[in-house]
Parts: sequence; C-alpha cells; structure tokens
Amino acid sequence: METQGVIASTPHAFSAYLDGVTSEWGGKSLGRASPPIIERNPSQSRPDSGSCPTGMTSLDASQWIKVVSLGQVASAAEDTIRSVQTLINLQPNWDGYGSPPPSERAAAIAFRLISEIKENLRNPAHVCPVGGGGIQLEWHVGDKDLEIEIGFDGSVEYLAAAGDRTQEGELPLDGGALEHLITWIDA
Amino acid sequence: MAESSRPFPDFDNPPVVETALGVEFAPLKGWTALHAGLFWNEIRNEYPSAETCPPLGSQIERFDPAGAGLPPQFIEIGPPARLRYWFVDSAQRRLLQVQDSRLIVNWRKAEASDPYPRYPACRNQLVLEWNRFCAHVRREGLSLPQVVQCEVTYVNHLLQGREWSTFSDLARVIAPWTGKGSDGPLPELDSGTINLRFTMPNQAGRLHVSVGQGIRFADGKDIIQMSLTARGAPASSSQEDICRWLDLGREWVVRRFVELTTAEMHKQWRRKA
Repeated sequence: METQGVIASTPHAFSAYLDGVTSEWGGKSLGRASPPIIERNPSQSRPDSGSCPTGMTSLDASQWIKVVSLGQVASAAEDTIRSVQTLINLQPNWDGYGSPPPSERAAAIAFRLISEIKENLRNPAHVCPVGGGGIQLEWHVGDKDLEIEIGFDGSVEYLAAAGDRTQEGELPLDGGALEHLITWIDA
Repeated sequence: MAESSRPFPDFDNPPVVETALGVEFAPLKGWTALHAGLFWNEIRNEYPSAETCPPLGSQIERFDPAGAGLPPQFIEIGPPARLRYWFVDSAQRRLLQVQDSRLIVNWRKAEASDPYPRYPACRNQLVLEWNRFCAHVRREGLSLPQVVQCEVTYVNHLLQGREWSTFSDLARVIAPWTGKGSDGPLPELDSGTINLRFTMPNQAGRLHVSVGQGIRFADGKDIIQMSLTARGAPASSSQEDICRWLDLGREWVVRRFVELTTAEMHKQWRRKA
C-alpha cells in the first residue's frame, strides 16, 4: 500500500476531516491525536447474546465455523462478498509474475471484515488481488479513499485519504475499527 | 409409536460440520480472569492456543406465561471484565469455551475428509471437560456450578453443487418447503432464511432450527446452513442428569433434522436407519 503526499502542515484540518479515523488502534496520525474512537474492548464488551457479528443468527454465537449469511446482508455487502469469492478461484501466476491466488486466510479475513460491516455498507468495495496471495478492498467516495490490504498471512493494513492527505496503519480485527472507517467514508 | 421406540436415524455420511455441547450455570461468584489462566495452565498441553472473546449472554428457555414470547433473558452479573475464553487443540478440531457461566465443547470438521466423531465421543469430551472444570473450581475454593441449562447444537452444511444448485432447490432439501404458492409456482427464490422453534414434551426444553444461505469464511464456498439447537434444564446439576438431558436434546436434534430434510437428501447422505 503506498502512502501518497503526506501533508503535515495542516494537521488540525486533517484531524478534523478524518475525525474518527485517527485512534488508538495503530493509525499513524498526521498531527494531534484525535480522541480514541474504539471505546470498547473485549473485556468491556456486552454479552454476545444475539448479535454475534460473525455468526448467521443469534443461535450461532457459540458456533466455531463462521459463515456470512446472505439472507441478512445489504446488496453492497453481497456484491463485495461475491467479488472476494471470485478471487479465490484465480489461477496461480494470475499476474504473470508467479503470484499465488489469494490465500484462504486472506479470504477468511476479508469475509470476516465484510460481515462486520454488512449492515452499514452503502457502497460495494472494489476488490482486487494483491501479489503474494493478498486481497485489497477499496472504496472511493467523493474525495475520500479507503484501502484495506489483507496480506496472505491475514495481516490487515489500511490507508485513508482525504484529498491529498493520508493516514495509514495496522487495522485491528476487533473493536469495530473497520465499521468506523466505513462510517467515515460514507459521511 | 413412542418416539424413543422408533429406530434412531443414522447416516454414513451426514452433513454435520460442527457440534457444540454445553452447560450453562449460575455465574460463579469469585471466578475471575486469573482463574481462567490457572485453568488453562491445567489443560494447556491439550489446548495450546487461547483466545478471548465477548461473553455469551444467558439464553434461558422460559415456559411460564409471563416469559412466553419475550426475547431471551440477558443477565449480566459480576464485574465488568467478563470474558469468554477459547481454548483450541493443536489439530484445530476441538474447542473448549469457558466463561463464568458457561462451558461448551465444540468439534468441527476442518478438512472435508474429517469423519464426524459421533455423539458418544462428543458427549464424553464434554463430561471430561466438565469434571476438570468442576475440580478446578473446587480446588480454588469456589462454590460448585449450579447448572441451569444444557445445550446441544448441530451445524450442517449443504454445499452448492453437492446438495443444491440454486436457492430455489430448497424444496429438494427442506421437506416442509414445497416451493409452491397457493396460486401456482413461486418465482425463482433468490435467498432467505427459515427459523423454527419447537417445544419439547413436558416443557423439557426447546429446539431452535435455522436454515439460511451463506458463504463459509474458511473456503468461500456457498452453503445452505442448517443449524439445530436444543436447550433445556436438567433435573439437577449432577453429571447423570446433565447427560440425560444432553441425550434428550441430541435425540430431538437428530429426529427433527431427519423429519425436516427430504428423502432425496437422506439418500445422498447414505441413511442407514
């Protein structure tokens, strides 16, 4: 993921613009730290009593094998899920440089991330493979861009850009981080 | 013919991909994250991986008129730092879930060739872990768990291209779903979910059935997931009564699964009885 044109001269404006993106979860802020947005951690969370984000229904909170339900997702989420599914079937050397298809680990993380935002997703992501077995999800809304890169090993990084200002970092899988990013880009 | 006297259904190749047998008990007073760590230390050679996740809320089946029709009861008692602990075996087939009010043993099919270990083995695993947990609680000087409910869950995955082609094939899978309207055939079915609830005799518990289309995280395959969960209160907290209820719950899960699925599917899964 490339960082473009980091402008540090207007950190306050940028922080305000990306309010809700800068946080405790590893984002490299361009200026002053915004208030942390991830207020919930597992030790403070509410009981998983019926809204398990990765199960199909409330009955599945104790289920181990995770499934994203198609009966309960918005069409933007289903489109994104289907795009990820398509990538799994890529042939080795799909890029002419010897890259493997996206790893099962990367695909599973992509499904997990999408399932967590399935109800709030207004725009389907542009989904593309990344050399080495990864997957990238991209949203471009107005002058805002969001890229989520999932490595073959399941590591996840993000890049948020507003105009010519950018912010990047590691994206934690828990705590609703992606949901906040999606809220930001749709705002 | 009484249900228990009918032959018990059995399949050579059932579509079950996961089972979960569990016990819910009144929140253990004084049981903290430190105790969970001590417990993991006792079982770590069998469960080398551990994770934390949000606790499960209480979902007690109620039959009194005041509770009928109400959503499941969610009770949060204790300090705010409640967690559920996942202990996973090295083969990634067995999961032990523990929190201050739950103990659940999951088995999952990690590879298509994994055989279903069958219910007696799953039940034995629960008994083993339950006894280990109770011994741990006793050693730590805490009161023994007071069991309020048992739970049996079977998750079945019906794969696109194996059991079905389009979601409109649901009628080939789910016996009560004819796929026909009262005034002619229905249009092509795109997706959907079916949720059913049955009360067990003598209000021994309830069976919840959920059928829906989805995509499996692990391999991106299109599936119809059919999960069946039986929940109910055992007569007491004794191991014998827990096992007796689990046996009843499993019988309800399996018999209703067979009744709710079609003979065509039974043939595919190689029904023996």
